[in-house]
Amino acid sequence: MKAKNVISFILIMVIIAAFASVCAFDIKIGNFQVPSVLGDQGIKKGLDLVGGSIIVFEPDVPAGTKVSSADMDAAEAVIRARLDSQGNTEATISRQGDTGLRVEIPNIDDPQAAVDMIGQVAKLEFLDADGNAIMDGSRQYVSSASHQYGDPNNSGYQQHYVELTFTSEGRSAFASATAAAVAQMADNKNYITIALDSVPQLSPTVHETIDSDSCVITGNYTADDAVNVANLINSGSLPFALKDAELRAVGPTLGSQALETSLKAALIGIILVMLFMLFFYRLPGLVADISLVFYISLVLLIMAGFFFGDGVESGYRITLTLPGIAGVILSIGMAVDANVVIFERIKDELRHGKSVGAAVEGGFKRAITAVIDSNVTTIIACAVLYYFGTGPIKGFAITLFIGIVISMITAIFLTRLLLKLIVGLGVKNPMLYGINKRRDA
Amino acid sequence: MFSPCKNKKIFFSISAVLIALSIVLFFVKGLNLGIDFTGGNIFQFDMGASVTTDMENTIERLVSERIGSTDITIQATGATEVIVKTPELENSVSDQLIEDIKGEFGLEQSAVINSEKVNGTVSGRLIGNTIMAVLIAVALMLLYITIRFDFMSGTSAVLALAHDIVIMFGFQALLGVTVNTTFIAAILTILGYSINATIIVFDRIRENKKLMKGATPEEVADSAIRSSYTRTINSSLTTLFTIGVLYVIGVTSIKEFALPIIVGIISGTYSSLFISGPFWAWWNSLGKKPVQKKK
Repeated sequence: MKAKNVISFILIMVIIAAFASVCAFDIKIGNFQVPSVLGDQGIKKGLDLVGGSIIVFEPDVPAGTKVSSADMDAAEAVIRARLDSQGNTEATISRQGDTGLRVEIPNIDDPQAAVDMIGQVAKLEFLDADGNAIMDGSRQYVSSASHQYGDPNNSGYQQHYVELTFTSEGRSAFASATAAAVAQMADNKNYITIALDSVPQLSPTVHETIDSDSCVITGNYTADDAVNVANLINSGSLPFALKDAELRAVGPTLGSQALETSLKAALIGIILVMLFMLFFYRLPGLVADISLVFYISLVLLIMAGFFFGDGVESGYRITLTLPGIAGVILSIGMAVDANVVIFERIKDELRHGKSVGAAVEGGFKRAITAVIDSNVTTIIACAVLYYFGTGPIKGFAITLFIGIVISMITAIFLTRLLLKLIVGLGVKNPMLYGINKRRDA
Repeated sequence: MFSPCKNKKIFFSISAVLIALSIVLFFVKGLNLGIDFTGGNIFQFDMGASVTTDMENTIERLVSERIGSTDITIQATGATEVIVKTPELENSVSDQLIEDIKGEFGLEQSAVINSEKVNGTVSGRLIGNTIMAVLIAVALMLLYITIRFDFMSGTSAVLALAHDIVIMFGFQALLGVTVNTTFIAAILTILGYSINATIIVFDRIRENKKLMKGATPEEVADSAIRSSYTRTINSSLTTLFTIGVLYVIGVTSIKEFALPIIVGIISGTYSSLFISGPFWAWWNSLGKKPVQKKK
């Protein structure tokens, strides 16, 4: 019995040590490679930690004007294309509310220039092979562009494609342009270029004169590609420019300073909490500290996207922002709460004269309702925060949520398992469990 | 033994005074709203040397000349940094403003460590969303506690929560610290934390109601509160350790977040022990008093 307990105990320690070292160090065994979660390849750091600009764009329309969701899609496609043409491929775009587009650009020197460049009214043109304008992308010529799936050429296989529909003016302009393009087939000039802000975006080949209310563009598109192309073409009819409702530019020094001080604060905070638990609860305190190491490792690994998808490039990586770090640090303080609730119950049971084994068992049983009920309410707050929050507030809600769930799991399962193993080893002096004989007995 | 319920008048009075003070401060002094709520521009420069009053005056003159307004706040922060707050500016104006200051003090672009602009309409939406978020969170928590405990436990917990949040607002007004989006995150954190602390007490009350047959609500609550002291204080201490360190060594925006949380945790510890339990007992013994008198 004792030998089994010793082996189990050692095994758990090894697993915890393994988790912790995966967090702290770059590990390389043969082809198997795990980057440190705190390194560059680990947890993705938000712009407030590395420096960069966050710009929230809104349509520049008179108050009360409704902007359709399709127009917002088109606006997003325009921003993406403009950022790409400037080489800002690391920039991210996300929706904020109904009409906000949140653009985050790392390492940018001149955010004002970016705002001016991104905010202009989209200028979409159809050009012939020599660069002469055939028509623009406005409603005057193009009624709509949409993503479709099917077999437009009767070629016998299904594919994603983009369908354009023209107005009568557009139809005649396109008919003469395609006729001219077909005539130049011998010179390999039988294509039409679609350009945004005079930057060519795509150049579909023309195979025949198209005199029709609609035409299709194919090109081995994935569904996403086709949606992007359709959105891009629709931007030609966007009736508005974009204005920056919010602009935040964080210099790289402030970012790294924020990261550095927060990590230092985390380290000091963890040490203080561990010492406190050790002195106040003695043996169970030590167990809580071991659980805390496991807890921190687990939270960091989850944030780095370690458990889901295909490692570092998976979509499950959480972007760590400054409020996010605060959420994690706060959750470390709160994480020991479940342990405190349980240990106080164990002490109660010991005071009632139960044996150490029975007290540990009873303490857990009695504490569990309080642990669950109290954490569920915090989870409710997190969910609401996540739903209504934007940007950094969302980040804070996610980290706090992960923290609370993991802390419950480690307290209920890991702390309990370790304590039972230790009791099984015959460590049964109540003094070691925080009971002061002279005062409590 | 000390009875929180028998001394409830003392605790209720302390809280009533704190709440009254908070409300007065809130309306008389008001909150120092940051640009997240008011809209406007904010710039942070690293001046490369400690900021003197002379420098502040020069900056104030440059900025007011550039924007044609004296509605400017200038605040030295950190060792060598200065924060400039203005009403909302056109991008071209804010660009020129940065150039003015860089030119005057011979600074590089890297000295502009932070520059933010928030539009007034965005901030209006933010306040609306926040109030809605708080109301929804409270309604959901009340529902959960009513299901798991009883309606009066839920009401007492929400009362303690309102107490904590009002005091947080009062403290923000008293200290005049900038209130930004992070204050909302702080409030919502305390929303969870305060209820969490109260539930530990009500978990004991729920248990005691079964164990202590024939005891008055006051005896039930007193015993529950007494057995929750150590847990509540220890949990608050560990949380205060981590958030306190964050406050002491964190950057400005982290301090703005940590301070109201510290206030909320202290208030939450107090209210979960001395307000929600005694309130629950007082309410539950209201109907029973005539019965006791007959005895």
